[in-house]
Amino acid sequence: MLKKFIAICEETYREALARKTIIGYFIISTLVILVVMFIFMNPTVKEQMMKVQQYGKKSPNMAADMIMVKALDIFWTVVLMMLNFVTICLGVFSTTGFITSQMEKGTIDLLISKPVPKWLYLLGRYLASLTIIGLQVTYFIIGIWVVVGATMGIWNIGFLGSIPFIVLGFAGIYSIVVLVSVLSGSSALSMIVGIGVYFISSIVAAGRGIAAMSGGESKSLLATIADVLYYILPQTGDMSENMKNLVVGNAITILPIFLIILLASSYFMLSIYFFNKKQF
Amino acid sequence: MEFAITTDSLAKRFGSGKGSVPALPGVSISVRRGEIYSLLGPNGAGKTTFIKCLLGIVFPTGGSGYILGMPLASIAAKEKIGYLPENHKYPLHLTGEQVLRYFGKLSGIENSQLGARIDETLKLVGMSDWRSMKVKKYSKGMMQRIGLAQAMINDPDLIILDEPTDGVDPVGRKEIRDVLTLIRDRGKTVFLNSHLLSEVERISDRVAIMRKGEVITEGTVEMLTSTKNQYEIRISPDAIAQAKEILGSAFHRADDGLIEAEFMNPNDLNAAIDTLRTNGIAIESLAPKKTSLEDLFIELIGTSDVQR
Repeated sequence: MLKKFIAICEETYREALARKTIIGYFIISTLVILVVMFIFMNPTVKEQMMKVQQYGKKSPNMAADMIMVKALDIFWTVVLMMLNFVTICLGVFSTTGFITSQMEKGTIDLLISKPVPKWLYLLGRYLASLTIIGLQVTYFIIGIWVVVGATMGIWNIGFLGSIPFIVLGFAGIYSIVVLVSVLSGSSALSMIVGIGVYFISSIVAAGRGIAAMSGGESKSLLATIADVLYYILPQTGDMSENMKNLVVGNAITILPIFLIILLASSYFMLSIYFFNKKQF
Repeated sequence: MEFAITTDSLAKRFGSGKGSVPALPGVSISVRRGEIYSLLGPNGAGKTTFIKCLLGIVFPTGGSGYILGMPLASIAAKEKIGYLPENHKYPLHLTGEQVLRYFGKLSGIENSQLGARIDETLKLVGMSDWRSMKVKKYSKGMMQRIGLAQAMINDPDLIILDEPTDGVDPVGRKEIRDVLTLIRDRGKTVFLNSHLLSEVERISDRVAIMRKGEVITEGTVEMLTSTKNQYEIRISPDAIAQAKEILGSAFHRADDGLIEAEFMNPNDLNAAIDTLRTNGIAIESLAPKKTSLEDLFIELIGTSDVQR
């Protein structure tokens, strides 16, 4: 069984290489890393950033200096948010085909005729996709981290810690993409649903955050809907929040991590259930 | 007798309720081990659906069946099966060798044996020279050959082939026929689904003809193509008129010295031959009349179904 699982993963990696999405992502990542490197190596920028550091160390209680101190945190946060957005969108676009290509007539017949349980195909493809996205994210984040660290002498460990949160967010969205792919066999529909769910879950997280800050006693219908959506859609907004917290050195919240793992597992199990029932 | 495939009223309906369509009302066949068994039928007869039921690609809605003594679609049975679907597709980024490696691994072949199996099957289907070429560059005939190699990669006891010679030129078809005969000679069973009647006639041990989801006839090619009590008598073309007069109502027709005649029993046949010879007509040959599988097929299915 393990050998068959490895064969499915290997084939997914080969397909990813053939689609050139991995190479494209690495080229774009490398370009961004190089741009960041050139920016941070610029003497003016370097001087200003060093000043920020010095001010931060000397007088962190002063309001003006605090803004300066936060500049780097903002930089890290912006990079992470952009990376999170790009990873989930590009990830969905580049990996949906791994599932739907299996469902095509002429391919699925062959796969089912082999002595491999159907669920193993989905599991192999799903986990291989996650490792591809994980590798891409790790390369980009470590690249930025090393560039900033080497040029500025600032080694923010929290930035590195955001890797699993981005992958978890993607895992949640991708589990829904897999489900839609199994049900519909359509790459286009699966991608639309995947990206749509990502945007809705981000809006829901933002909406709940605003509602929590306003602190109203009674719940509106909209708030109730937001609550329901929060528990049935992947908690990508909370993953972003955890990333921000890690970067600025605040505590992260554990519950959304369990929730997103539970949701992704549930959607994935549902995909297996429908895949087993499906006839081709 | 051991059977490679047995089905008992294997049925499949698509959809449910009043709108459901009976694709297979109930098919009962027995395929013996070590034979080439062909399933014939017009488009839409249910041949592919039947194969899909055997492999678990679709789920039967009635009846039962066994493959190599194991339940249909079981993992254990699939370990001993090779399958070439109609219009099969392989990942286009793979080379022929990589296709075999991938499907070989999925079939559970040990890595230590895989290389040798790939070499052997590629050689068998005549694709050794194109093993490193990407399948997207393959012609239709090459795709069929690599598909056949894929179906044989795990050295299966039963090979199920759905239109294996589709799109293959005559030379390629002959090569595929030779491969299938070789497989049969090695004691393997071949279950062939084809609409190329002449191909089937040449290599099959037994044939079943399907129409509207039902097997309407089954038997050896010899048995199906023989015509009861009808004989072909070859004489000199000059003596046809005289022979017609002698044979009377037994005479059916004649074409360039070949007479088709029907006799109720062997005694009548012998008496007629004696009379012909007594009247100075030399018998050049005598043989039971055979029909072609194509003639039988058209007779059973009907022209309208064939054209559909």
